[in-house]
Amino acid sequence: MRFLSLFLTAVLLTGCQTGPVRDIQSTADTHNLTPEENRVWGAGKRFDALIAKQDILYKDADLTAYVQNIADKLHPELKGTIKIRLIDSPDLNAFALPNGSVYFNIGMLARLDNESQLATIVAHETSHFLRQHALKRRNSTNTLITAGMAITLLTGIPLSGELIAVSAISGYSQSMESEADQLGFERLIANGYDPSQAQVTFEHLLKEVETLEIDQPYFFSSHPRLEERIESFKQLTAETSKKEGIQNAKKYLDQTKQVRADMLQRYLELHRYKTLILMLENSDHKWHYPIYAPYYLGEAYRLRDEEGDVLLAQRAYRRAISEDPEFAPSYRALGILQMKEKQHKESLGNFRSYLTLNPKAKDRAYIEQYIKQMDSI
Amino acid sequence: MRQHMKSKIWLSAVIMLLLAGCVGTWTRVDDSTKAFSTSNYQALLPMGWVLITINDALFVTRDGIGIQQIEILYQPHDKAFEKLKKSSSAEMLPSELAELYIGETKANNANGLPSLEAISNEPTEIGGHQGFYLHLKYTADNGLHHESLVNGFANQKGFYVIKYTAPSLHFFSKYKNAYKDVVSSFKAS
Repeated sequence: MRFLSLFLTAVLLTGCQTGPVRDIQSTADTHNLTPEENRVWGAGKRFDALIAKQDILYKDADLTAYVQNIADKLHPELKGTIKIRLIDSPDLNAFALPNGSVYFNIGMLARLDNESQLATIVAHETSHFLRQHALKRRNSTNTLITAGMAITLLTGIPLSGELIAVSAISGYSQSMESEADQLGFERLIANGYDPSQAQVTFEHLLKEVETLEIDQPYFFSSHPRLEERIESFKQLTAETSKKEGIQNAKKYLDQTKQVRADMLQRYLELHRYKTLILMLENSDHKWHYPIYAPYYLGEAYRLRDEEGDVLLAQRAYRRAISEDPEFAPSYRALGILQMKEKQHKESLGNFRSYLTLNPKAKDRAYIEQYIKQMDSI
Repeated sequence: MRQHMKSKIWLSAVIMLLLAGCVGTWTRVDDSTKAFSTSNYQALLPMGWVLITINDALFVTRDGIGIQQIEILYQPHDKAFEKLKKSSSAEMLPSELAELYIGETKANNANGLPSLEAISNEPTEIGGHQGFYLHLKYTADNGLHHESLVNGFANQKGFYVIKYTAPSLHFFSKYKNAYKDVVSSFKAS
């Protein structure tokens, strides 16, 4: 959303749209852009270059191609115009630029259950592009926000954090978001996807918002509120004659396997234990994650550090060891907890297993020091 | 070109520092300022560099912030890892402090600084305290590769960090020894 807000500001700075805005219906429409369209397309290209320069793209050609194929399936008439790129960020976010570039945070990919849910978001974002919402929005944006963002854009110095926070939730208007939901839903149905999954996608987002106690700003959390959008999708699903469709859960989980594993590690590094608990406590989703995933649940309990969490963490580490005896970090984590609980004999055993399984561990010196300290007791 | 880049970095740094408030003035490190001390720590600084203090944090640089800098930071326990909403304590293991320090550094970046990597992470002793020694590398938003050396520990009073950062190319290895001298002279008060 930060990128989208910056982009929209850049678009606003390029001047005002004066005439009616057409829909982009095919790649042919992109060959004869109006001067206004040209300006926002140019801003989109510059924004693409800015993101590329920041070295934040997730470079997985297979996964990018997989998401691109879904976009091409939803919009065969725009093949070659809509370009999917993945951003190496753990946040649940996605956005489209008016030149057809669509960006997905890998955090979003790691949290969905199937292809139908992914298609819901792809179709939503591409609908913003088809309806040229960025161009339409230029006439109706708060000048104060624009001024604050302009200063930030031009100087790189965040002169007003509040202005940025406000603009980060500004996104598109309520009517534009609703229109993108409706249009995206129609595309989803037309391409045989399971309509019930659209609502589930937003339920995932709502759970994240509630778990992390996020108010604003947040992707999809405003214009309108997530709860209203879930209701709206329920209604759309009830109204459609199609009640079933493609989910492609196995294919989706296979394609996103590495991203899921990467995200567990990223959330741990960022100490986002609430997210890890949300992801891993649900045993129905056990098969969404690597077999050693209970290690991350144990780490999440350790970081949460509430009453009873030491016990929960120990249980989770033991489960991780039982599921994957070759996964070294589980032994280390259990060893540290046991050392703190003065269970020295058990701790020593786990530390030694850790170093045997991972002889080149970067933290080897710490573990050797802990072993030495306990040996001397 | 290099001079132009340096000027931009200095200008940005000065503006940022002015915006931050509670800023001292840049002072050259000479015989009278070499032995630096606050109520929380003392250390010997590299001669000829310039120093500035912001609240209880010290920054020392030879050619400018962004070229090379040594920082000494002291935080009370409850302010040690604010982004992670975690406190430090004197009882924490050095490896736990290192883990929290890396987490806080990542959490302070909008995208979680995916390029940040610990080249090494070892126990060490700083002024008689058991602590951690990290060698980190990361890529800045402008694509420039940087490396940092970080020594940290916690005592009864709070959490201390002594950090050196410079671009990997040319600068990092050149001023490492100046940093090591600061670390070896460091004492918590």
